[in-house]
Amino acid sequence: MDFAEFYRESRDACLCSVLVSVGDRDVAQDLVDEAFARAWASWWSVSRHPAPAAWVVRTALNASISRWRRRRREVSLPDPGQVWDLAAGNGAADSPLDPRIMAALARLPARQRQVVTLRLLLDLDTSRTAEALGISPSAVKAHLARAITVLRSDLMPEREQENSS
Amino acid sequence: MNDDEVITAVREQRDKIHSHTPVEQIISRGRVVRTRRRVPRMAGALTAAAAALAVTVPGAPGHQHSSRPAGPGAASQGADGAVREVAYQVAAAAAAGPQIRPGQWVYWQEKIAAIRQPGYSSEDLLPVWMTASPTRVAYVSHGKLVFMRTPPGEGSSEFGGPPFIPAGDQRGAAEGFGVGAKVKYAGLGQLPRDPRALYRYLGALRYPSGEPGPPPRRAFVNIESLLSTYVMPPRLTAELFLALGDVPGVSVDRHAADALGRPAIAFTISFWGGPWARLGILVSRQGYQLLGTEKIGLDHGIYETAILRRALVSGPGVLPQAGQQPGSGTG
Repeated sequence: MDFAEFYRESRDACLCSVLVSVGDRDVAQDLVDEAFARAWASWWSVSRHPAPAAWVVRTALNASISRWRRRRREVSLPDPGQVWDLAAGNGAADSPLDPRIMAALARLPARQRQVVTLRLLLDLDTSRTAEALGISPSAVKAHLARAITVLRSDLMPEREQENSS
Repeated sequence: MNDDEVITAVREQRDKIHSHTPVEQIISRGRVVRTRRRVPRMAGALTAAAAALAVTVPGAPGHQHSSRPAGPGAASQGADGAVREVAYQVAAAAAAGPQIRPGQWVYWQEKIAAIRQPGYSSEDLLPVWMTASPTRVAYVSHGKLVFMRTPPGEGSSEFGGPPFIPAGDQRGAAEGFGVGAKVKYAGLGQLPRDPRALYRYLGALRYPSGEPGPPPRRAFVNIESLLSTYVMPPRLTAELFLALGDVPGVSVDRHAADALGRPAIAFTISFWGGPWARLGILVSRQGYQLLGTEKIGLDHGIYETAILRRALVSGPGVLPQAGQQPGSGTG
């Protein structure tokens, strides 16, 4: 696969995956662009990666952590889950995304969120996800199951929750 | 809500979001990444980066290498690494821009936004058509295409950019020009190629107004005036941004906005001289296209320009097509 084809096919999924973790569309876009630029600069090796899209997301999130470390001395950054909650409160009229779902994803524990990102947003299978995260396939399945349970609980309307309890 | 519905809801989010960054821009940025890895960070790094960014510019002013030791001779040790990094990214995007011939016609429209600036009003300016080498300029007055009697030469207006014709002024009375860039269009090809040499050269020039000042500020103002006055070949634009990354005292604000509220990255410099406290050059956060300039007054008044449209067209009076790629400005 050449780089342009890979970029066209995976850029939206990568952007969504990073956005779930960082909460800010502009920041996510910049991180993903930079990660794809690094992928292009190392395309010979990245193209041989078992999951190049996962490499891009990981690179973008690593860059995000570096930025956060630099910036935390200057300002306190908001938690992405809170950002999306605020967006939900404001109606988020300018975004086609559902802030309730994005907030629920952002609130997941890191490992569960990583598994959801790779399995559901990047469409990696269990073994590729396990390889990318350095965990066993059974651990991937367990994290995904727990994450879906949490998401279902988070997204279920309150009335439905009362009826089910 | 069952498990399948949860999975579907999550996947729907992915399908709703779209990244619009063109692959060409990613590749340009990748070239910068590659360059950063290959060349030493300090001496010689910028020269190599400029070479890596070089693009063929057929028909452009002859762009010769020059290492003349002009200007203040101060090293760029004060330049900030983060500023340089952003400048590299902007330069890479600029280098990937479309080729521009000196006689190429450009459609150009700007808005000025003046807040608490006596004597200025916020308004759209009349769109103009001008050649990249600003020898011919036309605008529409009373439904007719009018060519300006006095081409702007090296200085388009007091504020840089196209001739300053307020939209309400249909008489073309505003054909006089103030000061523009200190470097004539024909002299662009003689500018030093090495970014640090280019910084020193521009820092040795006076302000476009003719006044002296500290070299970093003079370099910043001259870069700003060149960027906002001419539609230059991509390589020249890239080299100016590389030089900007070498100007001591320049800061970068990644969360700025231009006069129209568009998300921007601002290169700024404090400017304790004349009526201004700070000057800025704004580029778009996505695409790194020139959006405009800002001047913050000592009285906290703000004077901003915003490029509404700058696009290559086939001739005077021809409107750019929707979605057409801009020259070295914004669409």
